Amino acid sequence: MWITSVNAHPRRRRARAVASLATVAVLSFVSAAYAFYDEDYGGSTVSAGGGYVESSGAHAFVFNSTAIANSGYLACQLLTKSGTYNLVDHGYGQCTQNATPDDYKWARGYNQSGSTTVVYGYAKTN
Amino acid sequence: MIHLHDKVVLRVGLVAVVAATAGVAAAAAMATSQAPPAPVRPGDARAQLDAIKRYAEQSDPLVRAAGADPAAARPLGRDDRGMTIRAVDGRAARCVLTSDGTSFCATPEQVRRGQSLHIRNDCSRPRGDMRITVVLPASAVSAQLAYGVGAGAPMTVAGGVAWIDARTPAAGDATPVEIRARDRGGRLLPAIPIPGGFCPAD
Repeated sequence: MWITSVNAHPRRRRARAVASLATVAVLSFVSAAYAFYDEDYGGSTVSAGGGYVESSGAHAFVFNSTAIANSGYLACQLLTKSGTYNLVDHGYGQCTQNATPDDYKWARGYNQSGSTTVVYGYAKTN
Repeated sequence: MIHLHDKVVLRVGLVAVVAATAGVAAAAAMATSQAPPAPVRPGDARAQLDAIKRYAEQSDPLVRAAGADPAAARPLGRDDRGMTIRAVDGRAARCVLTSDGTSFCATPEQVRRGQSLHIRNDCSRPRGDMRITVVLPASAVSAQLAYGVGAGAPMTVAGGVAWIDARTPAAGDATPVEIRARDRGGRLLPAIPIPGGFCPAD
């Protein structure tokens, strides 16, 4: 019985309160641990001029980073497939981008260099 | 007087508190006890990404992976949308940070080869925001974003970095093709090409 009775002994009430707090603490920690998601994606050869690697699914990603094996031009992208969110960052060698966790987004890395090469990606939630 | 049942509940509770505390402490220790990574060989993309991942829980992980301290970055100015542009030098690269969380680094070799730019596009709508930022050669004092036709648009230059806010070109719009920087004598430096592909699609 977890409901504290007003007639219960003070020590019993204290014991139940401690146990309740402990349960909340454990559940909070466990749920926080399970809420976090990160993923290495890509690592495969991608065709020149716009081929891409992609995360295995959409998550509330807040960070996406990509790197390209030939140090060439690449893009990292966080997007919803409905197009309501579509942020693209371009650079040479590596690319990172941040986002708010509002949407369930896919993470991508594009080979925008002139030759076929390997693109690596990493994305994570909060 | 505490009943046996309550003692059991209390002990379970205390064990749970200790376990939760230990778990949080372990997680915190994992997040803070990372030693600085060894310099990453240029071109080793997997190692470069791993170096960035080590700092993924902190701000500007790419800058930290380049051996630079984001807190030491000096402000250069603001872009048209009010974002602060800052710069800091790392082990072997100059890094540029924008207050919206964007950052990139360019080595002297990348600057020499005209591969020292970063472009951000909001591709969620036609003609969405586009910001172009570039680390310039040391002798550059001005820069212009050149479109295929017509006059270019002047870029803001400070601390060896140039930036401009523009719009992502829609079909039929003039497209920026390169950045033209000039030295103090007005001489044109080698152009920095803009590869395009602003909004890649399936």
